[in-house]
Amino acid sequence: MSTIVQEIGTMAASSVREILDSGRGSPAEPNAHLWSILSDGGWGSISSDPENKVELRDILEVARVSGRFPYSTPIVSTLLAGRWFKLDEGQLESGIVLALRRGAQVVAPYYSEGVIVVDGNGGIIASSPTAVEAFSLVSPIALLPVGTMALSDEYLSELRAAFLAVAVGCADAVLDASIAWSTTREQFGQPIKGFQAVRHHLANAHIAREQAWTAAIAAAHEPERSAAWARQGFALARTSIELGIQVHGGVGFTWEVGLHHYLNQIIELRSVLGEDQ
Amino acid sequence: MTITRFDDPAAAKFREDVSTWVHEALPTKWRTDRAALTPDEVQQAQREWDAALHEGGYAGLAWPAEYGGRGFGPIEELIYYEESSRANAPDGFGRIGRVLAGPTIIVAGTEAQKVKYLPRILDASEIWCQGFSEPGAGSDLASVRTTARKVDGGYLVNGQKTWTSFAQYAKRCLMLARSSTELGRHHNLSFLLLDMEQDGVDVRPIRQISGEEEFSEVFFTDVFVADEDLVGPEHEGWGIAMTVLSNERGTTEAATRLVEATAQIDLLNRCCARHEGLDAPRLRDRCELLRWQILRTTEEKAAELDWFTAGSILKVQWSELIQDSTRLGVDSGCPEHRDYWRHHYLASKAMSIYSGTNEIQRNIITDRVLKVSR
Repeated sequence: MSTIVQEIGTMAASSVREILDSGRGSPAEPNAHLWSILSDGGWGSISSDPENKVELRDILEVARVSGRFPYSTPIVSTLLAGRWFKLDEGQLESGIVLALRRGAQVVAPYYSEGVIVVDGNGGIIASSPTAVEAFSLVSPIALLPVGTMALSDEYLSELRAAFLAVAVGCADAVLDASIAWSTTREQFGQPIKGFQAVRHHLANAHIAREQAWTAAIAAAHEPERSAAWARQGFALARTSIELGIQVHGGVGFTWEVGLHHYLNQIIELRSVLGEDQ
Repeated sequence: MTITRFDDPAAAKFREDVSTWVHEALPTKWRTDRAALTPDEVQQAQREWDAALHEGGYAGLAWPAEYGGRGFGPIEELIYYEESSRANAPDGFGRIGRVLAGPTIIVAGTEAQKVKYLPRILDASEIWCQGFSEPGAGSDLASVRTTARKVDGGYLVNGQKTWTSFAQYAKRCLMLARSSTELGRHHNLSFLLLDMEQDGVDVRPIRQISGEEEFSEVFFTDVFVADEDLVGPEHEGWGIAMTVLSNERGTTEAATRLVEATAQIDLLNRCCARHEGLDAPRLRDRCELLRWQILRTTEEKAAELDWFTAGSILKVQWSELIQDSTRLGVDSGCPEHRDYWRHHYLASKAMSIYSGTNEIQRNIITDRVLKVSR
């Protein structure tokens, strides 16, 4: 595997981005409509067909794009499950979410009505979640029966890389918003983008998210070090987002502007990976 | 054909060859007793390494074969640096020639310049220095005031350069000088190859806070440069200087710094082992991140994607990593390496200034990568 994405990855990421972008203005929550467009377009099942030669690196490209949007679909876990397990077309179309160990609990992030929950072997879990809690204020997280077999280390390493790529997408969204804000917001009679202190925050946010992206790519190449990469990468993605919030001044910490969706999402992603322990 | 991906089997084979060679060629003293070497012994090891590189065919890996190189691409070059980094190999003394002067002459020089200069850069028989910065032209490089006045058959150079590495050992200088008093900014500078061993060149080493004299001030009084040593068109030296800087800030430079950072952090891990609360493992992770950042940028370069601006990230990354490592070295209070860490800590303060200050790198990122106009 190269550090450079293949054509299939670029193509998938660009289509997924276009579809998710069509939902702009939708509430920050699970979006069944967008998932049905993605799924009808076949984007959820590209990794299960060996002919497509989809590599983990390509899935990272899609994961990064999905992180840009503040509403959730099961696209990332479905692509991973399609790569790992024997699942049929119909199952993949419903969307797959994965059973993960979070402390003493077994949880399934990106859960919503109608998706299929699979255990650590790719077996379908028929029982309903014992509870559903808010996840990242954007997507629910299902609590599964305690005895459910969670994803094994073998798969967890790939999941770390993919979730880290989602976190980089979150940082992308906040940096774009910060650049736009610094261009329109005026103080002292000029846009704040003219002040070097602000410009260097933007530069540092870029450096941190690029390094986080490098960590995601490295995690995909080095499964045995994926936990260390995730630890480092999530910290960098968070730094990038924190800088963006600072650039936004007072509105950065208002609920309405919504930067918290991104910050919360990466905090939750770390937690379901166990990286915050 | 050059390799374009690190997972190409040819890359693994090349890595094996390099690794075998590096382990055999490493100067003995450097391998066994690096931290205890005096500055003179370090220089001796660097010169020995220059000779070994040339003999082993590793001096001009990415140079075209017709100029004595191996004609490899950025991937092979990086593999070499990775393997020498693993073996803690020294940084050669002819670095400015190999990394800056050579590639610039290959891209922009005349055939005569290539024939005259490239072989001696490869065997490091001529050491080069870079005459860019001046007392009044640091970050604002385009405002250099050293003049190159046209005379019969060439130019007379007058003025002062500063922060010039290797000036006291250099036979040649990459010189950026103002050749026109009338033309506008960025179109009034010429790029010259200047012979340092002539009357009118006065090198005065600058003692730094580390106690070393790594840089010098250089004064030029009526120093002659022949017409045939002009690189590129007259008055259009700015573009050539940018080529030099893109090499300086590129993956090759970062890879040589990775060699340094890896060695520092290896030692640091030993120094911190007895000292709870000092976070050497985190620096190890950052070092790995730098390695992957270089790897990724190099594959982008080999795939002819836009990689140039990634150089600014690398510059910030390696300089801050080495500074943080040496700071922790001082904090470790390791009794065996107290002097070593003090020295390297003080020396590392220069790193966020030279090769374009880290503030200038951040400006480049906002201006040219994020494209946020002022």
